[in-house]
Amino acid sequence: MQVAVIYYITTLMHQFREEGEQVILNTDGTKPIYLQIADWIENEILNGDLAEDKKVYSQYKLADMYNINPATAAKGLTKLAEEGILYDRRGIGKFVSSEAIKIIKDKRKNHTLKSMVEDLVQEAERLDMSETELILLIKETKSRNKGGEE
Amino acid sequence: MKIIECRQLTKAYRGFNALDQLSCTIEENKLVGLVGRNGAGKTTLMKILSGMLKGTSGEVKVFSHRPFNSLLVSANSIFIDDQMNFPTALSLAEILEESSRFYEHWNEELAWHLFDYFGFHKKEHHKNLSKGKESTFNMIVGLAARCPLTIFDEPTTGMDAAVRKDFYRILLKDYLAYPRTILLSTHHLEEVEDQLEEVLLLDRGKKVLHMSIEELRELAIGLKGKREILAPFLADRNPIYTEVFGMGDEYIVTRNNFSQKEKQEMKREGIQFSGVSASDLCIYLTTSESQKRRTLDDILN
Amino acid sequence: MTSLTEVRTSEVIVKQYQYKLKAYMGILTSLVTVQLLGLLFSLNGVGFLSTGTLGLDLSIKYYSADMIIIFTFFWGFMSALLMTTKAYREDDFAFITNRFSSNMSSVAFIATASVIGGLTAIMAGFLLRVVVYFILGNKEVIGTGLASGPLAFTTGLLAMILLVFLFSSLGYLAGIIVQVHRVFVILLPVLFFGGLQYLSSTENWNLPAFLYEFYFQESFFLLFAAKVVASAALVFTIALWISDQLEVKK
Repeated sequence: MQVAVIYYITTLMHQFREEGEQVILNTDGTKPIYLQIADWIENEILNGDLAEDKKVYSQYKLADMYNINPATAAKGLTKLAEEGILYDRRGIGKFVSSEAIKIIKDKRKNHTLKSMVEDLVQEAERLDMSETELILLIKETKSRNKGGEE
Repeated sequence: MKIIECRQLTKAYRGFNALDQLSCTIEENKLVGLVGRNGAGKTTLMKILSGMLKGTSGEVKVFSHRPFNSLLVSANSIFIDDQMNFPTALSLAEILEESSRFYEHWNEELAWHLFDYFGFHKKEHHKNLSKGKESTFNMIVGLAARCPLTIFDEPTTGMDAAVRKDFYRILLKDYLAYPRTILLSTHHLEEVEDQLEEVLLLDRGKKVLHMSIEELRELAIGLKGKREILAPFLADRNPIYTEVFGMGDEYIVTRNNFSQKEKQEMKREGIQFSGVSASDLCIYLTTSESQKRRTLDDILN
Repeated sequence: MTSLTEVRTSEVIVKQYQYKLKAYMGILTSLVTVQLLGLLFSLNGVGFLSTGTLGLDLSIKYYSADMIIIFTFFWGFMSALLMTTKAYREDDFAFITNRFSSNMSSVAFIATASVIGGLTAIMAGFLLRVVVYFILGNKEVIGTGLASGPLAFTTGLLAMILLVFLFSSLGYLAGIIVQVHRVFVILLPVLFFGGLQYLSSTENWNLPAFLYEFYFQESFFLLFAAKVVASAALVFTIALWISDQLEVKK
């Protein structure tokens, strides 16, 4: 008991001094924190850190990592579960589903990317840019990125 | 399980009601922020909940008991404020020792580690502490007592920014380790909102809102644009807050319940959207009518 | 589900009492000052008799510990009054308590303080004799009163303790009444002395005389003790009843 408490205190002391361990959230109010948590987990899945059928951090662990209320963290997890990215095992926790990567990619293509393109087109209209000019810009950017990779 | 239940709770003082027909419930193991301007009734509510004051009318239940004069409520709750009175004859170490005798779940290790961490000395006396150190010490007692209902009234008074940050971190860590119902009043919602689950906003003794922090953050939206472009979209709405700047530009805060179609339309018209932080929204919602009519700029010009 | 701590009132009273023994040390240190002051006043002597006949000069000087005793009563009254003030009551509420346990632990502390106060007052009476003998150089000291026998000493001591307790209870009640409203700071002494004046001037019934007779003319010690304890209990009960309505941290 005592050992556990001392361990707890020691980690506590470390954590509020070492900012590196804590993930800093974007708190300017533009994106809800639970969505930032969901995004972060999605990224972990996309880059392979969280593989299929692997257990995802609990709401308490996330709360600790992000220094947020566990209910907020739970909301992020619930959202991912509702979208089918995570599945629930009662009493054990949430796990990465087999379709996770596919769902995330679809979602980002159909929603995130779409609205980004909308913004792009709108800005282009405001600047009186023609369609060809816009497509050319996209192609140029893409080839430049490819060049950078090689 | 409901830890706190208030029904039509009123606390009348000569000439005004500090609490006015307040009804609210707080569920078990929630970390709730109590906010409102000065004189909103936060402290009165907390003192009634901890059994120090008696409501004038209405009902109040803590752990299903009337808190006034209840030993059960006293044994299971702790009230920490910046006017905390500890016996002047006792040193800081003796105060911690006494507290450990009284509170069943008192965490000795937590108390002494925090005591050392914040650089207190055993022989020091409470009355000789600076305001910030006093608050820090009170906070240690409040956390180490680990009472099922922990009430902090303006716990960070006088603390410097670093200590405040430490406090919010410790509060959350200890809450995670030992979940309990915590009620915390603050004038700096922006500092602690990430750690909170719910917000209860009071204004002149009445409840303005009580909802989860996530809901509160998405409750309102800020619109920025030319007045004549904004106007048609706001036709049948009451703006929560209006600020005029530049030449005919307006910043308007209103309920965030526009349809997707309306939003796209507004976007096309060049209206900019922004989120409204929970703390800003609480300020806008509790601005009195007289303040709304005459802005500070009017007075200063 | 939150498991609530069940507490017994008696447990809390004991804890509060133990804490008050530590926290109210100041009250006991003030006792020393008060009694030393009483001693100092007593050194002048209360009476002086001098005769000179047939070339023989006889001087008798009376010394009495009355001052010490009166000062101790006053100390008991004031200390108990002090314990009812806002600062002290709020201190109680820094820890677990309700009004009943707060008051009962105070009563227990007052009882303890009365024992100490009574005991030291008697001791100070002896000290007075020692001082008169050694320092003032009056070699012929004839003791009377309390030290005249073990039984008389014991009953004297007990009577002293009980009376300090009674005066303290009155101080406690006065303090609680003042807590109800500030106006009683003035009203209470006016009512007390006015009433005393009025009642002692009426023909058929004289209160001070009655009280003197009721308490001090009681020759049977146990009956005296019972009267004092019952009176103090009555006073504390009234104080407790009033205090139950009081708010803390207004």
